[in-house]
Amino acid sequence: MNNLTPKTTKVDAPAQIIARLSALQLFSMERQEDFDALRSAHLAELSPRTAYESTLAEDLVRYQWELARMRRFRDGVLLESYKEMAFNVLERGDPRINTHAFKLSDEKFDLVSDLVGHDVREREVAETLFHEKTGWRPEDLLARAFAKSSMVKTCEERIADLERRRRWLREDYARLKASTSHAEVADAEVVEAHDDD
Amino acid sequence: MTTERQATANSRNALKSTGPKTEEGKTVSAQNATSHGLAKPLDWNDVMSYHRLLLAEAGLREDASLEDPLPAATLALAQAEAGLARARDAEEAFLKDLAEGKDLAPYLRRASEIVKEISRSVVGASPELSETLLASRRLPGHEVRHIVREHWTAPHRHLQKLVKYRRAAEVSRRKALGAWTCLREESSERSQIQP
Repeated sequence: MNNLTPKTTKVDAPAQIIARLSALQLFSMERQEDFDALRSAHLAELSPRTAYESTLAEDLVRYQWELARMRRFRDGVLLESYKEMAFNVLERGDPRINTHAFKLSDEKFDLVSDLVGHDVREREVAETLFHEKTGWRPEDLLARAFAKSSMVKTCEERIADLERRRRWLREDYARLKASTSHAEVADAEVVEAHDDD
Repeated sequence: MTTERQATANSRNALKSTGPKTEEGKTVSAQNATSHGLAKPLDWNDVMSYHRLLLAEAGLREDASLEDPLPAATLALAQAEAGLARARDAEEAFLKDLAEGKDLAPYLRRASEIVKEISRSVVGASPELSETLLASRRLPGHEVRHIVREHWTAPHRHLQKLVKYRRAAEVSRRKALGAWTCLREESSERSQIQP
């Protein structure tokens, strides 16, 4: 028997599914408003039209957040490694020779702290001073830290993996949207034919 | 094809597999089911929530026969979605615990402190937290590396396991979604062609 009811019904997703998907567990150092802003921007771009599209769109938002989180973590690990090398250069003149940071003078300790500080001006001054004192360019040291840290590599691998999976989901989402449009067109034609009868 | 002789030998050998023998092995094995719970059967309520949503999406009735391909694919997709949601929640809860240091074994708590210190220093939080981080830098380098190695490796391994489950669940969802989409399109086309 020919089914003349529309195939795509616009229903609200069961509340628990959407609530579960959109309630990402944020770390205490992450801000809910940052997540909400990212979520709104992505949902606006993805513009899901059906309940199931909404669940996949929420999934994509989570990927974006996880990617941003992992990038922040990688940057933190990289800075730690960079700092360790800066200590080594200041004390031993070689980034590869580990030093006991507690032996550093307060002046050297503060210099390294400024090198990774959040104040751009202080950082620039510290970088110039570091270069003058040691002959090492901070950017070379940072590149070396990037190449040497196994934790940074782990983070990079995880970022690449997340990015790949996010891309697959994006493809699936595009396919689902195309399929929904296809079903809507078919439904419209069936309903039209039925009306003509 | 397995011969009768081979089958008998397999059964006989299987009887010899009596699980871990050492106390250490038994302790590890005892935790298999409780470490993440992702190998347990799915919560049927979760599956049904997704199932209802997908049935509506495909324009199917709740009593649609599972012998038809589209309702069967709908149920398979609902199961894949519920499995993925569970794997994702487990990974997320573990990461959250790691970052917050809640209810963790001692080795995880120390790891969480390190992760927290590093993460907070990145986000640029309060000066006293940066002080903690700087203080940790005053430890001898080899000691810091030892702490990180010892206390990062174990949770990292556990996280890898959770990621593996989640990735497998994503692959299942991808396959189920592909099949469901095709069947839904075919079903629409059929309803167009039929007079």
